[in-house]
Amino acid sequence: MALLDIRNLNVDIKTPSGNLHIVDNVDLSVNEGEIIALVGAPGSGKTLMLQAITYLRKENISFRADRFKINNADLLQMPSKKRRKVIGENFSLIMQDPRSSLDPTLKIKYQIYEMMPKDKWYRMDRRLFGFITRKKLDTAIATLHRTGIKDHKRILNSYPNELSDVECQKVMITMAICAEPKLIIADEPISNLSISSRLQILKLLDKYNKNDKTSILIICNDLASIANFADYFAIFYGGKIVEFGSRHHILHNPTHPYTASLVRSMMIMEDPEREFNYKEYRTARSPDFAQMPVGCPYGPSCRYANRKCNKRPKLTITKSFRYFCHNPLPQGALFQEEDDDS
Amino acid sequence: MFLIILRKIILFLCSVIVLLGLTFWFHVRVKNLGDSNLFDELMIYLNRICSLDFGISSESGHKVLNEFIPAMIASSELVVISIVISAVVGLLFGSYSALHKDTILDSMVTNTSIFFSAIPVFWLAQILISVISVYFDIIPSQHRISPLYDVPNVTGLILVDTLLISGEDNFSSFFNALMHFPLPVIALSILPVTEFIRITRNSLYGVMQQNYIKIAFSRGRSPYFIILHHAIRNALPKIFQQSSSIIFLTFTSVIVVENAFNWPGIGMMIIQAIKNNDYNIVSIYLLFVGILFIFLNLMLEALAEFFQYFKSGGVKING
Repeated sequence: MALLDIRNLNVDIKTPSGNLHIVDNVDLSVNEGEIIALVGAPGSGKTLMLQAITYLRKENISFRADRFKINNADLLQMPSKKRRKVIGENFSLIMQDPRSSLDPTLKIKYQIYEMMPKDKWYRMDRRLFGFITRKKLDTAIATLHRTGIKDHKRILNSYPNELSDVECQKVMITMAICAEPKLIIADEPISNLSISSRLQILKLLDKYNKNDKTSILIICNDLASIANFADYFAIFYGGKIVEFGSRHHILHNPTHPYTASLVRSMMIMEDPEREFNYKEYRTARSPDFAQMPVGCPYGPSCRYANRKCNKRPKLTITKSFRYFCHNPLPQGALFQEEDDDS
Repeated sequence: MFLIILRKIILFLCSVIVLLGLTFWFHVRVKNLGDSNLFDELMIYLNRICSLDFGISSESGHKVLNEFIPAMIASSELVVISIVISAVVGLLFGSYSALHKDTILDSMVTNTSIFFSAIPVFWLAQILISVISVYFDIIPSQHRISPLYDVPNVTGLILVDTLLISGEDNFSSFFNALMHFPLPVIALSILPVTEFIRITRNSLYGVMQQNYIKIAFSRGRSPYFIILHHAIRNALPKIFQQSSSIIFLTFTSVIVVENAFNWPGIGMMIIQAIKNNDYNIVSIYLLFVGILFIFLNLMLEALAEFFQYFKSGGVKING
């Protein structure tokens, strides 16, 4: 049973000059215990898609979908109050900038308490307030220890400005875990951190995923930093998932040319013996949504493009992966391409 | 934080010295110096000021301070009531339009507030008097209380003094005094309300874009909880900082309002004194109101610094 099941998600932005169609027919399903990474260039519509999933969108953004289910509950036919409750029970968010996602006027302690699910006991025995806070405090300390923070006394009694970036992010993860979610949605959780702290955060998320079987949907614009982390990759380009596949498939036999260019630049970056040569990098900017190219959005910057690419590519589904392309790369093309260049 | 407050206090003292110089200049203009030295005269003047002797009003012949303090209390009663009311109304409407930004109701609120801020206060006061008080004859518009009641001067605040009357007149006099308040308060609080709406809307809208609000929303919390627990807490320091200008705005428009409604406050007093060339009253007005403005500004900024200090957990002290 899929935890999150989305079919044909479309997101539009209303602008003064007309509607911009950003996210185009995206299918996504997350099963229990999976880690799925959404990778793509900045401005390709990943965050908009996340806003649509969590219903945190602004007023000028509208979305429609054929199917949107969480845990077999259909969100499209719910009143908004109940929908928010279902989302709150099942999801928890980790935002990009850890410092701005903590309330600067509240102590960390109270922010963690606020995230915890409401007890049945809480409603019945509101008078036993001391007992309840003691219980909440114990859970908070235990969760902080799980995230690798030893001096819980200092952290719990301090304001967000007193903590470092990594500590803030760890507190955010603590808050996310305390909510006991089934799916953690992390919007670029590591993009503002240094390399060593990135590893700490990823290790923490991975540990939590292994122990509690919580699924994670991680959004990142850097393929290299989460290459070993995710089970499945969804490569985003121009508001579309151009390729979806397992880690092995994406990193070794990418089918879509954009994925191939991403993986290739990652390989060049990570090879320490290679000298820097800017000609090796072929950049692909995400297209301007107001002036989308006719046909395949990746067409203008694709080196394999031909006459077929004037038409929109159709979704091709195989057993283990799916992609949008007219000219899929054959197996092992990634390494051949490298040989051609040199 | 302490450094900043110390700096503000020094600024305060400097401005007091400048104000004293100004009032001394008034004093010298009125008094014929004759043989005496200017410096000696300054020393005498400072000595008098320090013993709170501001001279005698040339019009009535009473001591200036004894005329000034009741007027000040009467004015501040009006100002405080209108600021409290306008803060409540402004916060409510401002937060409403911040939460529903770019909707029809929001633009209605903002456009109405712009319309009212464009109305001149003296015109509004005349219209209020002629329509509500004269044409419909609903509530009285002149003075603080009907002259039929004999109110003892205990605290100077009319709402308190009327309650202190013993006997049958107690409640009816209080009610009568209360009925004199609405028109001046409306005329006085039109501008502050629009200012409060603008400040609250901007400040709260900035806070509502923050990530912690989004996270709280995604947890399925009720909007009222989020606004009270997160948004207002973070928006208040900014509102406090900018509200000092509102207080000054009210104090300046109180002159017009008091003259329109015959309210025996400092506004009436200063206009009369200027007409009669009563320099002693003008100088005490200058000194007191100047000191009050600077002191209020100092207090509000210190309060904002205090909030900032707690926000940063007492770690940062920025220059």
